Amino acid sequence: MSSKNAILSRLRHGRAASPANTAAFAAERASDAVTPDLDIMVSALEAAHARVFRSTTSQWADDLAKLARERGWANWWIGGDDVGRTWQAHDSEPATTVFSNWDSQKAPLFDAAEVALCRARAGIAETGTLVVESSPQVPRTLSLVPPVHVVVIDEDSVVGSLHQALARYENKSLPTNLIFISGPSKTADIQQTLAYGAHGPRELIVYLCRRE
Amino acid sequence: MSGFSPNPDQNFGVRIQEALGNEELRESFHGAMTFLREKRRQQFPDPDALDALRTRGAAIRERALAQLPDLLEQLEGQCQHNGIRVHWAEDAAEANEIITGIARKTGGKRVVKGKSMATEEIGLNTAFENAGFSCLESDMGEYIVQQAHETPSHIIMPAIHRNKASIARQFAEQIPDTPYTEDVDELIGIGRRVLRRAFADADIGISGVNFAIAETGTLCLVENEGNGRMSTTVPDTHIAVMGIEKVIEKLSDLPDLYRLLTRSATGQPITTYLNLISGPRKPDEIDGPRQVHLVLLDNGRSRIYADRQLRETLRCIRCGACMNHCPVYERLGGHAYGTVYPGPIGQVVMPQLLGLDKAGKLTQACSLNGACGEACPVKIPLPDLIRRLRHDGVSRTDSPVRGQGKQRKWIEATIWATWLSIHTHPRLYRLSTLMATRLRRLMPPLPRAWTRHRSPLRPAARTLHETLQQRERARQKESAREQ
Repeated sequence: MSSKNAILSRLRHGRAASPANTAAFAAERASDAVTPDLDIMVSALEAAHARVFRSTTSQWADDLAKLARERGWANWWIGGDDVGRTWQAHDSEPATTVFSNWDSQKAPLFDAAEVALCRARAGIAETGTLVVESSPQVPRTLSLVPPVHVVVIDEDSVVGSLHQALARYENKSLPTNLIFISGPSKTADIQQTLAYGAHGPRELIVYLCRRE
Repeated sequence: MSGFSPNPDQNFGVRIQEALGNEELRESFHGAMTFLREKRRQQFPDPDALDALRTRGAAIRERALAQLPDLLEQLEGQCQHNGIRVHWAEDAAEANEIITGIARKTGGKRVVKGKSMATEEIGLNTAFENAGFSCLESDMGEYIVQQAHETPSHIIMPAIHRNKASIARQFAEQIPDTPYTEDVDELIGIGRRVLRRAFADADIGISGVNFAIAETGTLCLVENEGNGRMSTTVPDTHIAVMGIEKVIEKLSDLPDLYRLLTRSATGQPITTYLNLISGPRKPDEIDGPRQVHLVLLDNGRSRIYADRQLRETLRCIRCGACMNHCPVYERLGGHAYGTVYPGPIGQVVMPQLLGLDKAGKLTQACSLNGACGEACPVKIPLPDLIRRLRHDGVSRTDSPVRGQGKQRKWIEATIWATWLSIHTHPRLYRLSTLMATRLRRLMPPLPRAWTRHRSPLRPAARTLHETLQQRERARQKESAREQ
């Protein structure tokens, strides 16, 4: 008998020998709907050490260009999403790499990239969470490897709770990698002292945009 | 098992004495446990809401366990549909064989690993070393512990027993071109630099799984650092290892369990990353692993499953809250247990995995104060299970746990049999209390093991019955005089 069959047959025998108490399941409730509160979203993100700027769908690129000059960021990475294209077309654009080939671009991504820019498909107000879907336009490592991660998100894509964010995927196939991001990478593994930039981005910068 | 004992009962007493005498360790654990308990408390300000959430969490886990064989088959089907290859392992040896086999086929040699208790359980690092691979732990705490050739002392915070000065010394000695610094940001920066190189160069990434969703064929990983995402995204091959009990039914089961996990474990409302993996890189995608494998590990779980009471052990979501609230764990730390899973959940899981003859003594390191059961986010009745295993350890029952009755000692059994007989026969009881009070001067002193930390005890001159009777007579006399 294969290991699979042996394990499954033991479980089925065990279940028949002592069936579960199904009364316990009644304690569950249906998923809760919460009205998204953008102020809560901003304060939750800031509490997690992210920087949040309120902007608009037509204004964020100008705002970001200003911040980029102030900070002197030179090595930008984008994917193929709308945010990347807008940034690329922006006239004050610094040197920007379009991330399109893993094998040839892995080394510079790890060694030289300073800032990555991408769109969050949705947000969760309650916990200050950004929902980033992997796709051919948004590679998985874009939101992970460069030390600064800039996220653009539309206000009207923000939902109240994780329940509601996951409900968007009911009866649909999930992206290969669905990532919920709530702040820069961090650790408290040394004497419970919080330090940012453990392995992922040290800084998370969010442009929360009102649609115009 | 890498550094963990297959027979933790051996020298348990010696390890306890050593732990209690180690001031640095006592201080580290006292500080960390107080900190974590307080952070958790702040996350659950409303006790009624907390209880309702724990009840829901328990129900979600119970519902999954009730359908466990079906959900595992559904998970396998959905994963395969998503392009994830699924393997089944009866025990640690088979799991290690499967994993090193996959690794060998890739042709690569360099392995990075995200934090995973299932891989600690099977001793995967040792198996990799023996097979000629280098396997680097990438969680900051695990990295520190591995570099020092130690084992984790807490399931969520592996290096909790270490202070920053000793980590600073270790980094300065072991990592080339590293000056001594006690600045935590700089120490983390040093780890980041070393591990980034390792991620970029790795051929194979290993991870655990916090929850696996049967409905969608999705692996959920919960973390703050990003090393889990690195390990599962950058190398060409990702191998995930999970205990078969980790499966949940639906995507909508995730939010409540996730909320309970992060708040119970570290008192965080949310972790930095919740990473849902539903397949390898698609042909048109730019990055991500080219192959994803899932190893389903039994290792005794299906045996536990057959017993209705012990099955509750399998609800565990590995948050560590039971450790953080255990007064014994706080004083001993994780290493004294000598097991992969320390603290209350370890005292329940390890005897079931290793047998009561090898790990039954662990259940004695408990005062049955009940704090673990009250903290458990999925309401596992840990004190009841500890008592059950103590019972199985000294009796012959039809329990599926191996080594039952092996903790039985004739002297203890005789003492309890006598005690039972005295306390169920009133005449015998009166006679024995009379003897104890009248002949109290003849009582031998208690063994030193008892009196070393406690005042010596002597029976009273009168029994409680006599004292109360005497008091009653005096009261009656008093009231008669007043009238």
